[in-house]
Amino acid sequence: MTIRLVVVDDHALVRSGVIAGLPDDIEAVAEAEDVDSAVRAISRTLPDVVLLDVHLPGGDGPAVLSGCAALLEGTRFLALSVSDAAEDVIGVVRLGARGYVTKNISPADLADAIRRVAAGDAVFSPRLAGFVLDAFHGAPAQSDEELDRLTAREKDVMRLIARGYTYREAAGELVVSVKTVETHMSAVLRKLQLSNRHELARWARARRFV
Amino acid sequence: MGTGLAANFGWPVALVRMAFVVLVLANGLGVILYMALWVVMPLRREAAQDRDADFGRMLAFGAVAVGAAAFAYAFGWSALRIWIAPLLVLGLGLAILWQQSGWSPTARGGRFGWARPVLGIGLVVGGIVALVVGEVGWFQGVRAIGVLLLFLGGAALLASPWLVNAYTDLAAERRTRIREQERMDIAAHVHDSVLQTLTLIQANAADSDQVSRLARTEERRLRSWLYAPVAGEQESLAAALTHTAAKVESEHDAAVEVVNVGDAPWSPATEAIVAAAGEAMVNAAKHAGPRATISVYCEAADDGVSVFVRDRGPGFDPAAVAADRRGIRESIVGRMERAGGSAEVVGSPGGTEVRLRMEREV
Repeated sequence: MTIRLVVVDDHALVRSGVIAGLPDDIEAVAEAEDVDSAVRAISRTLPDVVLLDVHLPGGDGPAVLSGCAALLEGTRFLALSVSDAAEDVIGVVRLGARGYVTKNISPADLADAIRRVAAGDAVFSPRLAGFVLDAFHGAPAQSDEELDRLTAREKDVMRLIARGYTYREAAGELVVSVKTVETHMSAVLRKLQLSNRHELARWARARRFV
Repeated sequence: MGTGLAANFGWPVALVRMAFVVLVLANGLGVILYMALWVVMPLRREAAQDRDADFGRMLAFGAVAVGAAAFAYAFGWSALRIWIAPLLVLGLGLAILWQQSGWSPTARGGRFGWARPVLGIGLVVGGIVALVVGEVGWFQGVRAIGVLLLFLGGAALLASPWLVNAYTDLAAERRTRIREQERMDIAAHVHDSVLQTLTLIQANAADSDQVSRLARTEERRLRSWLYAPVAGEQESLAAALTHTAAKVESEHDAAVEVVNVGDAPWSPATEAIVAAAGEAMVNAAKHAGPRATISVYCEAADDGVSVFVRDRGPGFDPAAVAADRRGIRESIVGRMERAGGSAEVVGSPGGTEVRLRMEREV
């Protein structure tokens, strides 16, 4: 089955580079260069995956996510950025993006990440895993909610991702199946999006996404 | 006022003021002169920028006021009451107002900066009221002042849009200036870094390894300038590790990605672990093939520090090659053990990982 992809980036070079590197099973159905055209293109084509630049003219990646909030069920967003700033990444993930990769990712890894997001899994770069560990570090200050804590296993998975392991390698290291690793990743993504931990709230507030 | 005139013409200040007082007492010509000069007064702003002389000038005004009062006393109380005292008050108020460095409400003026204009305006208003009342009596005086206030209020109303505009323009201009300054700072930085690197890349266009190394180094530098908190290279574990990674990256053909979780203060123990991690990165860069990606993960928790350095090279069995790898045995394992930590090298088909661990000393 072909994965239908919309590429949103304000740099034409980046867009054409990404599209040129796509394998046969991923088809770019539209491109967009700013928030308005992105929301229009996504609403029109209803793609499986949107590859979304975090920084866009006329608002930011988050504005696209807000504009497409109603479509989040059928369309998955993968954030693409040159920025390593925590607040940028946490911001788009908390608005519904299912993953984050940096622009220096290889075409093969990018295709892999797109397939993963299309299948409903989460995609974490090592740095995003590091942010997560940082944000969920220590005991939560006020609440004991399950959302505000990572289980020991989830932390193990995050650590391996932060160390540069692939899902498969992480599964091998922990002696579990890849499916189990993916389940843990999705659970962490859910906590990242829904938890009200102070550190996450602070990041969100810094970018005015509250 | 007298100061300005004196400064403009090079006359002694006291002489000018004496002349005024005499003229005022003689037939009121002084008042007209005073008013006329007041209109031309903006000249003084350039003439007297010396703020240190402020106090001295105030003292001079006081002395002149006392002198004039004594002078008037000789002519009798009636003259003093009707003319001199109000005029003195008025003059003093004006003088205080003009001592202000311009009329900007935001002008600096110390803790009691607000007191001077208030005092000055109070004195001027009081002087005018006393003059009018002294001349025509209370009943007429109040009416005259009422008319005057109406007039002034109307004038203020007419002028206010213009004043507001002028003020907003000024604020906008200041903002533009600040923005321009920022833009120039950024331009200077871009010129020193990015433009230089782009020039180098053009010169080395044929050598793709060199080009990618230049691009990577510049990317790292730009990134740290844009996003990194201001920190010295050896202020903390995370900063030192990032710095070490940048060095390895620029000296060897490799991309090093550092992920820090938590941080620890600089100490002999953290110094050892950073040095060992640096050695591991160099090893990885040398043996994992050109343009390898090296993942560095550092976690500083309450119970200790762990650093993982991983590459995706062919991998090797450390036991088999340890004999000729002084680097690993000495620089990594030996260094960690001497500092009270441990090191482990794990090779697999997927790559090699160096695991460093330092328990927190009790």
